[in-house]
Amino acid sequence: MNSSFSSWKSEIAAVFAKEWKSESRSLSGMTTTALLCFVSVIIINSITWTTSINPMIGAGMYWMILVFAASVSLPRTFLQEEENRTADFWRLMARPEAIYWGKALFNIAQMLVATFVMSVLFVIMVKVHVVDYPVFILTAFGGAVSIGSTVTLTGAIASPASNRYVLSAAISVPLLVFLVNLGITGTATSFGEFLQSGEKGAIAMIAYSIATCTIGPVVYSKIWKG
Amino acid sequence: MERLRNLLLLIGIPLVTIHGALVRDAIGFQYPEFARVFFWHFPCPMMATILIWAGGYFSFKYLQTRDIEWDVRASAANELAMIFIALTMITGIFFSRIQWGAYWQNDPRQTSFLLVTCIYFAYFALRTAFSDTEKRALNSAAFALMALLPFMFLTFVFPRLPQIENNHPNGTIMSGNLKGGYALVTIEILFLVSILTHWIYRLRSRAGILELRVKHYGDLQNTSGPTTDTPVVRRISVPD
Repeated sequence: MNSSFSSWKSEIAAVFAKEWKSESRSLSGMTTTALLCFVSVIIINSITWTTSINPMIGAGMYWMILVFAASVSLPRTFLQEEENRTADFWRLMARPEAIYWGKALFNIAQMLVATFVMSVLFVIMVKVHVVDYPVFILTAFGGAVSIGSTVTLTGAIASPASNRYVLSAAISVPLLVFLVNLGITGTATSFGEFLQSGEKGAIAMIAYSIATCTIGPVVYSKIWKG
Repeated sequence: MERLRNLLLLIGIPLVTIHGALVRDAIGFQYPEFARVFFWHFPCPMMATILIWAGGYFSFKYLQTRDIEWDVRASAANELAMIFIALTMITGIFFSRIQWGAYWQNDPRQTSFLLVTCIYFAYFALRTAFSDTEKRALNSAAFALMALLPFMFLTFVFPRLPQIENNHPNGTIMSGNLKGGYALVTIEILFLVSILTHWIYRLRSRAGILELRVKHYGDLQNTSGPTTDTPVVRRISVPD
């Protein structure tokens, strides 16, 4: 039991470490996400200027930025394996669930950092007031985990296609758009919008993140071996 | 059985259309006579929902068995679901213009069905990206399974979120507000559309499976063993 657990742990840690090393060499994933978030916040700031925006609109913009930034930058963890022709190596070396978890954990970590940075920038530059921090943090955390897990899987699905980069963004955005709706409920409540049981949005986000993390490895194990 | 079905559809559809026209006008609508669009609008999202579930189940069966015929069934169900989603949108937009005054009212059910359309467009975009049948089947089955989660949310949860103002009344049927002739015509049309859907689905999936078998037969013809009874075998040497 213990050896089985430690073998899982070492496989997942190996995939995570490989992603970390690969990212620390190029920093392409973090740079892309940060740049997209930063530019989007600046654009919103330049549009709204001194006007304070409605909490609902603010929450909508916040989630749209996160979803589009994630759909462009996160799928590359799988796409680059096909590009570098290392996918077959992973097929031989590790269990599909371990590969999924290693890559998903890396994407989730990246997404959590991006969400944190984007949230700070958004609150400062767009001038929204967070009145309920627990709901804001819970919604952002649930959203980052859900987005990270979903985009990892869509990246894996699109990776064997020839137009994989365009396709991965095209198939992940429709799946994530509804997360925007869910996230808006919680985030708008935390921005001061009075919504009847708006904090349920945060709970639903956490529930959805659990669902995606459960379904993800199961579906992935079916497609990985080809 | 097939004759009975054809006869039922041939006679049933005109009869039920006439029945729908003769039924007493519904109350509470701006133009009660045009509220009859509901008869043909209502079965469309029902059929789309059932077909999407069926598509998800067939995709799951494909992933379980790797039998390509399940992929054909999944694709047929999702194609037909797309047609019903389009019909839902068209009849809904028509209803919205007449009763609510605008083609697009930002109604949550209109919006959620539009998002469902985007998800299933992505499904077909994914299918077109693979030329290899097995890869196409495998990856689109995974996507179809994954799409069920947002589909359920968009259909059942999103229209009931607290910030949403809904033009569609919730629970009309469950609370027994659909009654009399209106209820009867709705059930009749739902029954006929179900039969029609089942028939079209069977035709589409059978055509797909036949297409597959013909293709597979062609492959077998091209590669089925050596062309002579005594195959030529040359000795080769592998360098150390």
